[in-house]
Amino acid sequence: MRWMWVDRIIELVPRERLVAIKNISMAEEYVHDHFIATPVSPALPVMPSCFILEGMAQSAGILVGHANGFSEKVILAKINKAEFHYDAVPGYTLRYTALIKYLDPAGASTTGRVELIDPSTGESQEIGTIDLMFSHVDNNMAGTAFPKENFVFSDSFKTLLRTSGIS
Amino acid sequence: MVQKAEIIPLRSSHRKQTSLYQCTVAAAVVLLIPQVFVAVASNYRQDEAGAASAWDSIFKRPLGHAFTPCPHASPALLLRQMTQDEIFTKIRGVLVDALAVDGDDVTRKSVLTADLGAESIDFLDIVFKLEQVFAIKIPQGELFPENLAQDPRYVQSGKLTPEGLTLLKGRLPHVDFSSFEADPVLKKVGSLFTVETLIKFVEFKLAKK
Repeated sequence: MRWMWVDRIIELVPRERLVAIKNISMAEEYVHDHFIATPVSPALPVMPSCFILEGMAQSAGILVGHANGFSEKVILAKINKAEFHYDAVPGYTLRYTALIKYLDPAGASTTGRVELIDPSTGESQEIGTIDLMFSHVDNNMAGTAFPKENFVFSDSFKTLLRTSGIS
Repeated sequence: MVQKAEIIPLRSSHRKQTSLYQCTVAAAVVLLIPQVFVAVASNYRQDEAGAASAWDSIFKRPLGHAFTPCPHASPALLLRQMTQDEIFTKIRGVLVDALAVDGDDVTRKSVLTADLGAESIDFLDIVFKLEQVFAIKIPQGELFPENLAQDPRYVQSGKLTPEGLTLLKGRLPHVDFSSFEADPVLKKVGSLFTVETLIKFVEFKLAKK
């Protein structure tokens, strides 16, 4: 399973909302370098915000792709807004809530909320908001042709959908 | 002697009995009006739990709309209500949001690509936002042309053919081609799209609808 930043989809309302979670583990490789110990400070394991962004992009991308039965090649085209207020650290769970703002044959616009859940207490805290734009790349304005097979929703995504109980 | 007609004050017992239907309608109006004011005042903000605003709960609009005019207002009413200056103000808000530019940098003559840094994906974002703000539907390719460069009938050696120019003019009646026609280089098509173009397009769409 390569480059999957979502562990499970826990809610899907077609063409409207998708909620997914990702558990942050100390075993993930990037944690060992981010941030590494220095002579003046101990190691500080923190999940980089760019990976949180990728998790939201995958969540929202699945929502947009599902809206058309995964027949469209959904590509992240623009990050309209990405605000992070708190760090995400190992031992906690991220919950992505993606909502479709607009959807048409050319693409889609989504808004999303990221929460950090403490598994020991069940409490959650909103740590960021992310607004994205996706393009249905086969309907691009330049008329550029892409391969026929849907290279976006690979076997990894199919496995995620199946294990989450989504057809 | 003519008797003066006696004026009998109308008492409640003399009034026609108010029907149950009239009572129900009156009650609904009285109860609904405060909610509408609350919805307008809340300005579509979401509450802490992320639930829909009062406006959304009444009219069941999807979450996240930046601005939605009254869903029951006709396009003709919107057109009468909006002057070109008002349309420009709303379009400026759209461009500030879509292109992350300063409002002062957006003038009517600003070229979307050269002056405001718009790229192809920004055009899609602009179309989405215009549809939301003005409650209009913009089919793909209506505002910004598509698939032009791929057809040799319309583009040769990097320039638009007379057929291509005619096609573009037909597709984009809201665009001023007077300066472009002298040297119709394909790469310069982007310079046709100014803020004034968007204003004329929105006026055209509102009037057409």
